[in-house]
Parts: sequence; structure tokens; C-alpha cells
Amino acid sequence: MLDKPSKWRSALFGGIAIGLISGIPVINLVNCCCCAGILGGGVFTYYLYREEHTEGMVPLESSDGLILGIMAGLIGAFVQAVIHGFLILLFAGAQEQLMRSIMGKILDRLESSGSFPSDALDQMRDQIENSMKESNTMWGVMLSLFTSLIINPIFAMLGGLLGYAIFKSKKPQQTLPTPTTPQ
Amino acid sequence: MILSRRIYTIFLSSVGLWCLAIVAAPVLRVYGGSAGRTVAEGLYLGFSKICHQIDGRSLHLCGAKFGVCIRCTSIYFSFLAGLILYPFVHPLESKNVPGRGWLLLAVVPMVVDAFFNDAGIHQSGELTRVVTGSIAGFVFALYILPLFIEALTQLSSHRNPQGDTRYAGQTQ
Repeated sequence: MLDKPSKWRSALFGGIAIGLISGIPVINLVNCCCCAGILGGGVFTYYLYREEHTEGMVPLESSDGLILGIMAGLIGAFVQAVIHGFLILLFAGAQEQLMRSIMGKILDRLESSGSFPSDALDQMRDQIENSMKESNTMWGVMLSLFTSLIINPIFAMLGGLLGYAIFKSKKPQQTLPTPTTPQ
Repeated sequence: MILSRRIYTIFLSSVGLWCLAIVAAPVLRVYGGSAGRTVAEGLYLGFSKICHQIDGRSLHLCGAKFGVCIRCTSIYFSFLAGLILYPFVHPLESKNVPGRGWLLLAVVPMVVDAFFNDAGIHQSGELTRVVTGSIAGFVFALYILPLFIEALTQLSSHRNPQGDTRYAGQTQ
């Protein structure tokens, strides 16, 4: 029976996806709902790995989903930090202006739709303003990297396990025997 | 001690600590003194990476908001409830997870509630956030716990191929 494919390729692509979702302004708002972007990245990583897996290889196990998720989460944290630092270096002031303008439009739209109370919108404006001030420094990038290195692997691991549950083949797989001591 | 039970205990404790941190943030902010307030701000900062923390959309304790919003709080606490109840309805060694359709059914109401609210189509309230978040969190636990135990048991047996029975999910 052939060995399973290497996990690095899928983890790298999954990590890049997580980093892009978490690092690009506005898109990273997806993570406001229990890290949905990172969870989704974990599921995507497992999906990529399953696509590389062919018949005749050692069957996939839930531990593959767990390891893939952790690897993708860690890679994603570094990709996110690189994107974050890159945006600061390139666009420093312009990026802040652009973000302010985009967020202003989104908040105005939410206000006109009436789905958010006005005090909640004011608070969101303050939070966005504060987070922009804090994050647009190299210290902000390092702090963000530190928290991402903790949070990303946890949620991406859960995503990897969910990916295993979602994409698991329905036909019974031949499982590896669990080694036990002779009684 | 059975390995699966040990993994379950560690996982349950970790999730319990996570939920405790959500509740501890407002208590420490109000009653924690200067050191407690510093810890509370650290907790709020950490949780700000995973939740919008809007005051009007959060539960409050001692006059301060929880670490995460009401929807996230419902997800995490119902996930914890799912973990606590799981061994009463399923053996921990069971590798069976519900079909993927149930996962979809559990997540769709929450996504619809959030999306329709932000699109201005429907006004989501505290009740809809709690109910939809709780359903999703509870069902997540039914998928993640057996797979997490299975995955760690597999990793342990791969690391001990010569066969220490503790690592094969059997009694010591």
C-alpha cells in the first residue's frame, strides 16, 4: 500500500488561504463570527489533502485532519503577519484612509438598513478607529502575530476535523490495525 | 485510566477554561483591582481577534460586557454543554459522527439569521442569536469530540507501535 501524500503542500495552500482571509482588510471581518474564516481554512486544507489522496494509498484518518489544521493555522499566522506588515510598509497612510472610507460606507449602509442600533454603530466606529491606530505599527503586527499563533492553530485544527467529517468517504475504509500488547 | 477518557478530560477542561475566561473578563474588569483589570484587558484583546464585541450585542455581568458577543457566547457554552452531555449518550470510544447533513442543518439557521440581519431583511434579536448559536455549538461538539479523541488516540498509537496498551484505548 502506498504512503499518504505529504501534508506540506495542502497545509501551505490552506495556510495561505487562512492568511489572506485574516490579513486582508474588510475580508477579515469574516473572523468576527467565531473565526469562521480560519475554521473554513481548516476545512479547505483537508479538502485539498483529500484531493491528493488516491486509491491504493493508506486510508485517511482523523489525525490527518487534526495535523493539517494545526500546520495550516501556523502557516496562516505568518502569512497574515507578512500581509499586515506589507500593507503598512506600502500604504501606511493611504491604507488607513481607504479602510476608513470603506468601513464608513459599510456602516452608513447598516445604519440606513436599520439592522443595527445607532449606539452600536457608534461603538463600532470607535472600535475600528482604535484598532486601526493600534494595528498600523510594527508593534501591532508582532502582537497580532502572537495572538494568531495561539488562536489560528486551535480553530484551524477544529476546521480540519470538521473537514474530515464533511469529506469522509461513506464506503467503509480499510483501517490500520491498532497495535496492542499480546495478552 | 483509559486514554480516551484522559483526552476527554483535557479537552473538556480546556473548553471550560475558555468559557470561564469569557465570563471572567467582565468580573475582573470591575472587581479585579489594577492587576485584575490588566488581565481583563488582555482577555478582551485576545477575544477581540475572534469577535466584534459590540456592547449592544453582548451579555453583561457586573455592568461590563462578556468577552465575546451573545452569539459567540451561545456557541461556546452550548459546545461545552455538548461535551458534558456526550458521554451520557455515546461511549467516548465511539468513532461515529452524525451525517454531514446535520451539520448543515445546524449551521444554516445561524448563517441565515446573521446574513439577513446585516442585509436589513430581518431583524435578529437576542433570542434568535442565542437559539441559532446554541444549536450550532451543540452540534459542533457532537462532531468534534469523537474525532478529536480518535485523532489523538491514532497519534498515540503511531508513536507507540510496539504497543503500550494504554495507547490503544484499552484499560491499563
